[in-house]
Amino acid sequence: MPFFKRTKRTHSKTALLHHNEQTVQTAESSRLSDRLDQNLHRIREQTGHSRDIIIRTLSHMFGSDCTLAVIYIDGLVDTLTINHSIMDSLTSKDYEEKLHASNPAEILSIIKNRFLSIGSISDLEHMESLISAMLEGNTVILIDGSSRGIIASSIGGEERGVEEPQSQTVVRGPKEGFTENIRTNTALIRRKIKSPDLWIVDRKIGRITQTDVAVMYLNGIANDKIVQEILNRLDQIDTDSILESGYIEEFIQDTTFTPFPTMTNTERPDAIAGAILEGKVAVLVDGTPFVLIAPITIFKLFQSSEDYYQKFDIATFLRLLRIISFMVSMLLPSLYIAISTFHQEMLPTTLLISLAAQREGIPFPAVVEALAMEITFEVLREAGVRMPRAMGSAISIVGALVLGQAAVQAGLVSAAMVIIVAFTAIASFVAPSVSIANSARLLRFCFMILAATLGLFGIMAGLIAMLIHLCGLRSFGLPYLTPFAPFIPSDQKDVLVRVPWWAMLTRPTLINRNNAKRQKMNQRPSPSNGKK
Amino acid sequence: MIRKLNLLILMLAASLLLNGCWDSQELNSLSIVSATSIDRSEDEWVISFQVVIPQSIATQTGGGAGGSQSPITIFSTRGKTIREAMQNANLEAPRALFFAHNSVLIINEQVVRNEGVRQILDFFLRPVESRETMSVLLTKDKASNLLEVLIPLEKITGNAIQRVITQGQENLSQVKNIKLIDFASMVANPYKSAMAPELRVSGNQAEQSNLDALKSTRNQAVLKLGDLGVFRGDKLVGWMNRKESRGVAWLSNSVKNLIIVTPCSDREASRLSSYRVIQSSTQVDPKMVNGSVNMMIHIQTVGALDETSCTMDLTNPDVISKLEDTIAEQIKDEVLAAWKSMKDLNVDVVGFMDMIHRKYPAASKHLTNSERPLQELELKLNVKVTVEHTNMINKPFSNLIEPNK
Repeated sequence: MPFFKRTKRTHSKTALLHHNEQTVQTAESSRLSDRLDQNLHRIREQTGHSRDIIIRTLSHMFGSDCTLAVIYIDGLVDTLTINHSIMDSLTSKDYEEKLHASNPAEILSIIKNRFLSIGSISDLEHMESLISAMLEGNTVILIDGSSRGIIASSIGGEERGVEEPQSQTVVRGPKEGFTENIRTNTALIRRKIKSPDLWIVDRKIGRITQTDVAVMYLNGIANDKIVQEILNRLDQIDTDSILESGYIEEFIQDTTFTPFPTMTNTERPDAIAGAILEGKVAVLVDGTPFVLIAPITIFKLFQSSEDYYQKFDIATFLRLLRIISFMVSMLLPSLYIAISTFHQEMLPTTLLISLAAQREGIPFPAVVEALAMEITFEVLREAGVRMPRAMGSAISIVGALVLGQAAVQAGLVSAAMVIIVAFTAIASFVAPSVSIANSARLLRFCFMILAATLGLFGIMAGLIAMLIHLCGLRSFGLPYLTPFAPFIPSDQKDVLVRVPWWAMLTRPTLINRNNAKRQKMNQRPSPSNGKK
Repeated sequence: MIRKLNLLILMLAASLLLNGCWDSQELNSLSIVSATSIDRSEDEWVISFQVVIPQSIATQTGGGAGGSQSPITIFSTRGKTIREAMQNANLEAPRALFFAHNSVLIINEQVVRNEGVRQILDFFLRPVESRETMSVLLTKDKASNLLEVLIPLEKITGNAIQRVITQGQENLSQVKNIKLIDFASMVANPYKSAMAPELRVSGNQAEQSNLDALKSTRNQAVLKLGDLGVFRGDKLVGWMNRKESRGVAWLSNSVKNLIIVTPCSDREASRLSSYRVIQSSTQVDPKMVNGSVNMMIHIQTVGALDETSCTMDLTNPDVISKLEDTIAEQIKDEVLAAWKSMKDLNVDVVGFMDMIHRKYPAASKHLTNSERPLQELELKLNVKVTVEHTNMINKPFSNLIEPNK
């Protein structure tokens, strides 16, 4: 392993050097020419004469013989903005009569300052910024005779609206979910936290994709060191593409070789807002509705945003239920294997006999039976996700009948095993976060092999190893088992139990050392309070 | 460093994989033994196992012929030692015998009289699999016969026997469920004698061993708890009958729920009442009087009148206190019967010597040297009976028919 790490490090160093050379080279030869045809030629050449690049030339502006070019990429721009705010004003007759300018630079500044009814406008000098502005969906205006241009913001194009998130549904709580557009997403969060302290730091990551990445946090509440650490790690990423937040997650998480996620993601703006208010940092990536949260503890993965909207008692119950379900989905098949092949004395006699009766005539050992059934279930599950919707019911019928009934009747698997696998499967869907459910999914197989070789001893050894691993894990410097290891009494209020909101006096201690106070004390409702 | 790490991984993987599922046993490769019996013939141990046949017990769809097959089967083997006999079982049993669910151990009377239980206890306490909670029972007949009796309601006879004993212990108090570990510690205790209940077949045992017996409504034979076998050291010395074993229960403070049948009065000896003990406590206090030890026994019971055929005014406190006296006499009678039997058999099943040993070590040393130490003790009995209530009705129903009392 150390050998592997060393080679990786040298690789990245050389890549970085290479990249720097490239940028230096391009910077020298990137200034715009003052001849429009040359610029347009260069644009066409650089984009490979792609058909979606629209170049509209306007000539004889303001009485002069200047030629103007409006350049944008079809589909990325908002057609309404182009038509009404840019083309309309450029071709308007009213101004043409009043204004006369001969100098191209003057014309450009008149256009910029008087004509364009667009909020965000900036100047342009380099070919690189022209291309990248265009690719973002801005409109570029160039004029013959000037080596400068204008970037007019016209970002738009087709996009999905704000819909109910598919992956994390709630009974009570907001039904909106993030979209693929980073600006919509930041707006969704800002709408929930109307504070100037909600700061956004932008990064562009991916040499080719130039993906927008935004780091959002509450200034003064988030731990500066954690924010800085996340930004540093983001800055170190040097890759050609970022297509989803999963790319970022794998680049910046603390440990790769762990079944447990050290960052979590969500589609729900309210969950992100809640995390930000606790002092956590959100990483938004353009092009995906999944927003990352860091740092997290393992207990965060068992919490749903709904916990905070429901009454505290049921929320507490559900949290305990989720942890139990996690243990069940991780351990149940292995416990069955261990007890039925090593520790038969642990079962009550009648249960042992009914299990033994079911196993009569089953040709495989319990491990093989369990592994086969678990793999079958995983296949079914994966098929269910990828399959066209229309075939879903067909597959579920086949799955239920073939696996549930026929396999038992054919004497290939025992009925008890079907129950075990089914319950394991259902328990794995209880986890509110897909990432923790996935870690249970993988660990389940390890535990099954341990149980098959060493029985309960194997499971125990595996659990101890897992616990040691969990104690060593860190998420952006935050111990993964906080607030149990290290034990923080004041943070117990929102881990296994959730106390009523009026008792939630402080924010989690380790995440934000400063400004921990959430609300004033003694807000417990009582009749006398109502009278005042 | 890398080599060390690789070596470590290799070792871990090897230790995980090379043991090859060491002692794993699939459920369908086990013969689950539910009861064991021990006999002796021609200087050899005869061990019989009652093995459960799971297919015929579990009600399963597609599980084949449930019900037409006997739920249990018996293997009998012989050998010079118990272990050897057990090993010989592998000559005939198709699956490995699995003892962890053995709930009953039945020992033949002749075995415990002649050989004692030391070898049996040693054998059953030694292996990993064996359960210390199995019930120890004695029988006057051939012990393996008891395993053959089919019991309706319960398909696994071994479990059924254990339930009969625990039921008896809870609702009758005269029998006690003696677990193997308790039995062993009683045998090992020099100041206390061991005891174990007897199980017998009443009826035609051979008929009830046939599966057809389960088809008739009346059983040809039933398993029944009988006397109480008492030990001196590790050998059986005698039996106590029902009345005596109740007395032992009173003395050893193990009465929980018991019906005492008592005549109404001397005049009406044929008319009986039932008194149910709800709560009872016995305190035994050894006391030194003039160099000899007196056992002061205080029995306090609280109970209710469950049934009566007498005509009496139960609302009258005097009548109740008279009733209480009669019941106390009944209890005294049982206790004294037990005491007499204990002295005759020279066994100390209650553990009097143990109590004396704790309170007067010197006296106990003197007593243990004596041949029959119980003869030197004197029993001072003090029974207090309380009739707490007479259940839902006060006056006896007989009063309605014979109102003139």
